[in-house]
Amino acid sequence: MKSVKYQVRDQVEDQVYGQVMAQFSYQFSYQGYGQVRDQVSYQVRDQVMAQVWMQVKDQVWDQVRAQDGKVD
Amino acid sequence: MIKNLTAEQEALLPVYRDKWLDIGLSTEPLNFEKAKAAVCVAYESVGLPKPTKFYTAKSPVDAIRLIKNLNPRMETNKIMSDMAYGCHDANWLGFYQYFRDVVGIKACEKLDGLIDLAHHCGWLNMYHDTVVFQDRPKHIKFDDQNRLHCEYGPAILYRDGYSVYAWHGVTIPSEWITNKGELTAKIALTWANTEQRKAACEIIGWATVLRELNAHTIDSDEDPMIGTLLEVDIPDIGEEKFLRVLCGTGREFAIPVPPNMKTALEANAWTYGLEGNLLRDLEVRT
Repeated sequence: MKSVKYQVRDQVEDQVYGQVMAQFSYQFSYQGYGQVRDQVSYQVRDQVMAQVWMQVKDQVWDQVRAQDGKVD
Repeated sequence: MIKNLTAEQEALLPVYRDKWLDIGLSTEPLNFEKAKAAVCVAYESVGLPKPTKFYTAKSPVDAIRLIKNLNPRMETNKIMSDMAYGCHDANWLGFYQYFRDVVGIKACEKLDGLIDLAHHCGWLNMYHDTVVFQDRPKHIKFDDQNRLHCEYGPAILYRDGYSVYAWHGVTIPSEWITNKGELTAKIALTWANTEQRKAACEIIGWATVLRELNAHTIDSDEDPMIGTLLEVDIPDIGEEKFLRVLCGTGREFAIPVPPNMKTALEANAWTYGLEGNLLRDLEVRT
């Protein structure tokens, strides 16, 4: 059975992505979509995901692995 | 069918970027009531019954402890894999909110709950009937290039004290900041991770590290403010050049310079984006 996270988040993202792309002309799929991706998604990703989310996630995972599942 | 963005729609791109940067980097405390309402919308949007049990944790590790208390059979790896990221899902939620609000694509409304949720909480674990929300960090600090960095404390600090220490974007052991005196050139130079090794050398100061490494002099300018060009063999990294100089307050420090530098004057000028002779001319005039 799929996890709740998958049902509420991951699967919905996949579905919405497909439905959004279906609204785009061929030209927009290669230009306008990229423009929004680069100027909104990627710039937020570079700051929030790369500098904060990933650093916290990596550290927590490292601690989990180092302590065999236990965290202090 | 959408063929292009209008000028008005394009003008809103930086507005949405900034809005979602603010959401992603928010250090506001968890808004429990609003997060509860938002997560219920997210469940309902996929036909799941609304959860009825809600818990709060102050950090990711606090959430792991809490979930293990609720269900001792739950593996830590599974808890981590089950985490969604609330405000830190900002990059993709901002993308879809733009298409929902600015371009008017109704399919994006299916993400309404998650978009709202990102405004109110940090990471979260969602289970049948139970949600564990996490608080957002209490502070996040960056250097002038927007890299995670703090030289006198944690770069990320959660409200329960859980923290991440970082030096110009590289995570480092906390004791390198909290107990700087214990960090020696030997520890720094033998550290296995090369990015962290460079950070350690910067924390100690390259001038100290270079003395340990017996750097050899390539060129020494008669003016101590221009300095001395040194070359050194750094373990696992290789030959690197540094300019050792005195600053205006008389403190000695060393700066890494490109390998093609041949004189101290050229290296010093490079640090100002100038050519060597121009720097000498500037000095004469001042």
